[in-house]
Amino acid sequence: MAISIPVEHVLYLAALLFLLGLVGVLVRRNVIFLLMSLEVMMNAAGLAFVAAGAKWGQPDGQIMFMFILALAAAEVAVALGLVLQLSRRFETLDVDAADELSG
Amino acid sequence: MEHLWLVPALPLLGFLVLFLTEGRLPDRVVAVVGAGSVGLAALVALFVGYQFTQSGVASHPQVLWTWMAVGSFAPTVTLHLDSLSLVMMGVVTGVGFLIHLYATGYMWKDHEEPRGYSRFFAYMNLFVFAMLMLVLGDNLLVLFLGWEGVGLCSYLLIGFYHRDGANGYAARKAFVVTRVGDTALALGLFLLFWEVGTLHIQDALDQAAALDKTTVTVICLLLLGGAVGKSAQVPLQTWLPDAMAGPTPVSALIHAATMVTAGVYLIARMQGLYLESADARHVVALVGLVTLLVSSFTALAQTDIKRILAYSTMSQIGYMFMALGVGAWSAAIFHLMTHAFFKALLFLAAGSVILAMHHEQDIFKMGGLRKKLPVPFWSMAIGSLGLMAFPFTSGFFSKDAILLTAWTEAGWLYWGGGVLAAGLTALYTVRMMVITFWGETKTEPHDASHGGFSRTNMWLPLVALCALSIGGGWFGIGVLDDTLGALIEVDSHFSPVALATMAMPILMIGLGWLIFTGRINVQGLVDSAVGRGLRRFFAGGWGFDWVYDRVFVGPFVWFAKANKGDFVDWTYRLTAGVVRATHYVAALTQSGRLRWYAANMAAGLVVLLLFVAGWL
Amino acid sequence: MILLAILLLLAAGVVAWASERFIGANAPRWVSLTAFAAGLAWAAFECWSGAADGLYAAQSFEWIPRFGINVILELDGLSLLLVALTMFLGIVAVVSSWDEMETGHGFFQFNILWVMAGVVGVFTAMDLFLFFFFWEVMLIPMYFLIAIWGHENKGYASMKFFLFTQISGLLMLLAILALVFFTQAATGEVTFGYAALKNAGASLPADVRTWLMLGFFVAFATKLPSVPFHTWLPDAHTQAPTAGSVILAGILLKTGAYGIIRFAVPLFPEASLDFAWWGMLLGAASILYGGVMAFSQSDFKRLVAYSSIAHMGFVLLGVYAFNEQGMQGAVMTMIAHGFSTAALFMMAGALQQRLHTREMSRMGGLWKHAPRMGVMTMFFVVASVGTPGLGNFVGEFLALLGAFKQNVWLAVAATVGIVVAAVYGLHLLQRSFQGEPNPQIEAMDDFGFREMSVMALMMLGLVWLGVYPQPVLEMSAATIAGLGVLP
Repeated sequence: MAISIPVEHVLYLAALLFLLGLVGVLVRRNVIFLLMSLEVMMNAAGLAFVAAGAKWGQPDGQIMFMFILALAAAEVAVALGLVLQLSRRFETLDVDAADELSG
Repeated sequence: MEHLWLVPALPLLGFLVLFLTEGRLPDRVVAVVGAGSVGLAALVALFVGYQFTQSGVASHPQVLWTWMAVGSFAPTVTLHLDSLSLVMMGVVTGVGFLIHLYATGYMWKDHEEPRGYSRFFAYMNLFVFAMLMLVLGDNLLVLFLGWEGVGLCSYLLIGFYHRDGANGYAARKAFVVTRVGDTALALGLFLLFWEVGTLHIQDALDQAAALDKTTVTVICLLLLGGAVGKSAQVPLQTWLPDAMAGPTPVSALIHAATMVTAGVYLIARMQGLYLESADARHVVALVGLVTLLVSSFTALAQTDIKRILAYSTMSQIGYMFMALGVGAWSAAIFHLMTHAFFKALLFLAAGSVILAMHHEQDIFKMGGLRKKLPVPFWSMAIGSLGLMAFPFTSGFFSKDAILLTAWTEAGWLYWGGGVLAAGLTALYTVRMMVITFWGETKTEPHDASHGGFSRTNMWLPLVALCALSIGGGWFGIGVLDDTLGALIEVDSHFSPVALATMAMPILMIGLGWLIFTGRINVQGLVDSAVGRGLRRFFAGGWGFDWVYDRVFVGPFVWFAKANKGDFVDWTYRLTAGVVRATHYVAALTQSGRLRWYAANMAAGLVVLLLFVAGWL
Repeated sequence: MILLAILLLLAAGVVAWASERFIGANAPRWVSLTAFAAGLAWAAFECWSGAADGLYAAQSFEWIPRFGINVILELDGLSLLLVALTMFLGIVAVVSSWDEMETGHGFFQFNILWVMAGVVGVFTAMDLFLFFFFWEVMLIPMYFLIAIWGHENKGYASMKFFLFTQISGLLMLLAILALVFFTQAATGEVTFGYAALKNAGASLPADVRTWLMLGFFVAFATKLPSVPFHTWLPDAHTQAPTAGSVILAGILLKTGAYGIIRFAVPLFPEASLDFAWWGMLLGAASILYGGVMAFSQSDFKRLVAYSSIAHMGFVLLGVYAFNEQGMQGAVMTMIAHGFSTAALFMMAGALQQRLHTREMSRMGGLWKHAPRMGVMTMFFVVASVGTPGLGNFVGEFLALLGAFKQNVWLAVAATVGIVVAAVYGLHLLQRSFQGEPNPQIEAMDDFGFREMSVMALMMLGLVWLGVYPQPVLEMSAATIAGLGVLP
C-alpha cells in the first residue's frame, strides 16, 4: 500500500472543486465558461465517487465515474449544440440574453 | 246553447287569420275580418242569450277540456253562462262590435306602418277573445288567463303607435302597474286553492261559509288588489290617464267599456266570498268612494279631452266599487253596462273630434265646434247626459240605484260622497262640453274621414250608442236577480233623499253652464294662491305618480344602475384577483436567467444541508 | 337503443368533422341536422311506443365490475321529455348558427353533437360514475364552442365557465365517492348504481347526508345557475356563439335542474327536506335578483341571460316546495324555458349578425325594418313574462302554487318576481324593436323561411304547453311519483 491519503482530504478537494465550479457558473456570463465550470463541478462529483470507492474497496465508485464521463460527453454534445443555436439567434454568448422564459 | 264556445272562438279565429297572414290582406278584407268576427260573435251571443233566457236554467256550463291536472289541482277550461256572464258577454261583444266598426273607419289610412291596420285589428280581436274568456270562465284560472290576456292586449294597443317613446312608456306603465295588482290576485288564488282545494268558482263559493273569517277577508282583499289594479282604482289608478296614449277606439273599448270594469266583474263574480266578510266589503266601498272623489276632482283640472274622460271612467268605476261594497250587487253590474254605453259613445265622439282637429286633444285649443261637427256634438251631448245621470237617461237609473242603496245600507257618508261626486261629474262634463263646443273656433276642423266607407262606419256606431245611452236604462236589470240577488227595495223614489240625489246633477249642470260660459266670474278664485295650488295638485292627479316615482321606481332604477356589474361577481373576481396577485409574486422568481436558477438551487441545497445537519 | 342514440350523436360528430374536408363546407351542418332529426324521431318513437313499468327504454351491462360500475341507461318520462327537448334544440342550434361561422364548420358541428351526446347521457345515466362521465363529456366541447367561436371576450368567458363547472363538478365527484364509500362501509358492497345508492342513503349518519347532499346541490345549483353561483352565466352566454347560447340556455341549464330532481333530492330526502327552506330562499332570490339584474343590462344577450337565472329560480322554488304542484311546475318551467329562451337567444344572434352589436342603445325601432323579427321577439318576451296560455305560465304558476303551501312568505316574494319580469321583458322589447327607428340603421334583413320555420315550431310548442300541457304533465308525473320524496 502506498502512502494513504485520508479520504477527508480528497473530499475537501472535491468540495473545493465543486465550489469553484459553482462560483464559475454563477459569475460567468459567457456560456462557454459556464459549460467549463459545469465540467469542473461534475468532475468534483466524480472525484468524490472515486475517493469513496477507494475507501470501501469497492468498484462502484469507479463505475460511477465512468458513467459521469459518458454523461459529460453527452452533455457537452447537447450543450454545444445549444451554444451554437444561442450564438446564431442572439448573436452573443451571454446566457443572460436568453431570458425569454421569464414569467 | 252548445254554440257558446263559438263566441270566444270567432274573435280568436279573426286574430289568427290576421296574425298568420302577416298583414298581407288588403285593408278592406282586414276590416271585414276584424269587425266581422266580433259582429258574428255578437250575433251568436244574442242567439245563445235568447236560448238561455228561454231555457229557464240558472247556469249553463260547457266543459271544453282539462287544462292541467296536477294532484288535486285540476282546473278545466269551461265556459260558464249565467245571467252575470250573459250581461258581460253582451256588453263585450255588442259594444265591442260597435267599437270595432267605428275603428274600421277611424283607423283607415291612419297608421305609420304599412301593415298597421291589420296589426291593430289582430290585437283588438285578441282582446275581445281574452275578455270573453275572462267573463265566461267558470274557473278562476281561466279567468286569470283572460285577465292577463286583456292586460297584454291593453299593453299592445296603448303602445300601438310604438315609434313614440312616450306611448311605449305609457303602455309599459299600464302593464306593470296592473301586474302589481295581478300579483295580489295570483296570491289570492293560491290562498283560496289551498283553503278550499279548488279554483272552480261555484265550488269555491259554496265552501266559503265554512272558512275561517280572517282567511276569507285576506282572500277577498287579495282579489280586491287584482281588481283595483285592473279597474284603475286608488291606489293603483295611475296608469289609466297615461293609457290614453292609445288610439281612441282602444280607449273606448278597453279603457272605458270593458277591460277596466273587469275588477267589478271579478268582485261580483266572487260575491259568495265577499258576503262572508263585512270587512272586505267595507274596504271595497271605501276604495270606490276614495277613487270617486279623487278622480272627480282631478278631472276638473284636466285640459286633455281624453284624460278628462279617463278620470271620469275612474270615478264611474268608483261608483261600481262603492255599489259592490254597500251590497248593491246588481246595480253595480247595471251601472257597468250603462257606463259601457255612454262612455264608449263619449270616447268615440271625442275620437271624431280629435280626428277633425288633426289629433289635437287639448280642449282649450278647440271651441265652437257645435255647428261644425254636428254628429260628434250631439253624440257627445247625449253621452254626457248619461254620464251626468241626467234623469231618465241610462246612467240615471243605474247611478240612482247605487246612491239610494248606499243611503239605506251604508249611511250618509257613502251617499253624501256619491252625490258630491255626481255634482262634480256634472261640473267637469259641462266644462268639457262648453269649452269644446261653444265659444269661438280656435282650430278649424277638417273632414278627416276618407270617403264614404270610413264616414259611414264611424257614424253608425255613434247613432247606435246614442240610442243605447238614452234607452239602455229601460232594460232594467231584473235579469241579474238569480245570480246576484235582487236589488234592495228602496223606500220611495220621491223621498227627500231620492229627490236630492236626482236634483244634484241638474243643479250642477246649471251652475257649470253659468261658470264656464262666463256668466259667473270665478277667475279671482281660480287665480288665488290656494286656487292655483289646488289646480296644480288636481292636475297632477293628487301626486300619486310623484310619490310612486320616488318610492318605487327611483330606488329600483338606482339599484339596477348601480349594480350593473353584479356585486355577487365581486366575490369571484376577488378570488381571481388573489390568485393573479400570487401569480405575479411567484412569477418574479422566474427571471429566465440560468445563473439565477443555479444560484437558487445552490442556496436551496445549502439550506437543505444545514437543515439535515441539524443547524437549523 | 339509448346507447345507440348517444353513439349516433358521437359518430355524427366525427362524420361532420371529416365531411368538411372530404365533401365541403356545407356538409357538416346537414350531417348535424340529420343526426338531430333522427334523434328527435327516435324520441318520438319511444314516446309513441309507450312505457313499460314507467320506462320507455332501458339498457344495462357491466362496465367495470370490480368497482360496481355499470352502464345503466334508463329512459323514463322525465328523461324522455328532456331528451326530446335536447334533440329539438339541437336542430334549433344548428339552424340558428347556419351561416354565423366563417371557418371551422366541421369542428363546430362536432362540438355541438358531442355536447348533446353528453347531455343525452346525463339525462339517461342511472349509474353515478357514468353520470359523472357524461357530465364531463358535455363540458369540454362547450368550452371549445365558447373559446373558439365566441365574441370579443371569449377567453375570459370560456375560462370562467370551465372553472365554475369544473370546481363544482369536483365537489360532486367527491360527494359521489364519499357516498359510495359510506355505503360500502354500511352494506359491504361497492356500487355506483343509482337504485342501490338511493336505498342506502337512509343508513348514513345525518350530518354526512347533509354534507353529501350539499356537494351535489352546489354542483347542480352552479349549473342551474342559482344565486350566488350564477355569475359565470351572463359572461358565457354573452360571449358564446348563437348555437352555444341556445344549447347553454336551452339544455345545459336543465342538466342542473335535472340533477337536483333526480339526484340531490331523492338520494338524500331527509337532508333535502331540512334544506328546503334554503332551497326555496335561493329560488326566490334568483327570481328577484335575476330580474333586477336583467333590467339593468344594456346588452340584449346579457339581459336574456340574466332572465334565465330568474326563470331557473322557479325551478328551485318548485322542487323544494316538496309537493306535486311544485315539482311539476319545475319540470314545466324547464321545458317551456327551453323554448322561450332559446328563441330569444336565436333572436339575439340574428340581431348581432345583422347589426354587429348587441347593445340595445344601438338598436331601436327595428320593427320598421323587420316586422317578423319584431313579432317573434314580442311573442317570446310575452311568453317569458309568464302570460297565461303559453308554457311558461303553467310552469311558473304551478311552482308558485306549490311553494305557497310550503312557505307563504317566500312564495309572496317570488310572486313579486313576475312584476319584475314584466319590467325587464317589456324594457327589452321597447329598446330593441320599438321606439323611434335608429337613424344609423338603414335596412335590416327580416327573417326568412329557414328561421321562421324554427320559430314557428317553438311558438307552437309554447302554445301547446300552455293550452294543453296534460300529456307532458302525465309523462313527468310517473317519474315524480317514482322519486319517492313527496309526501
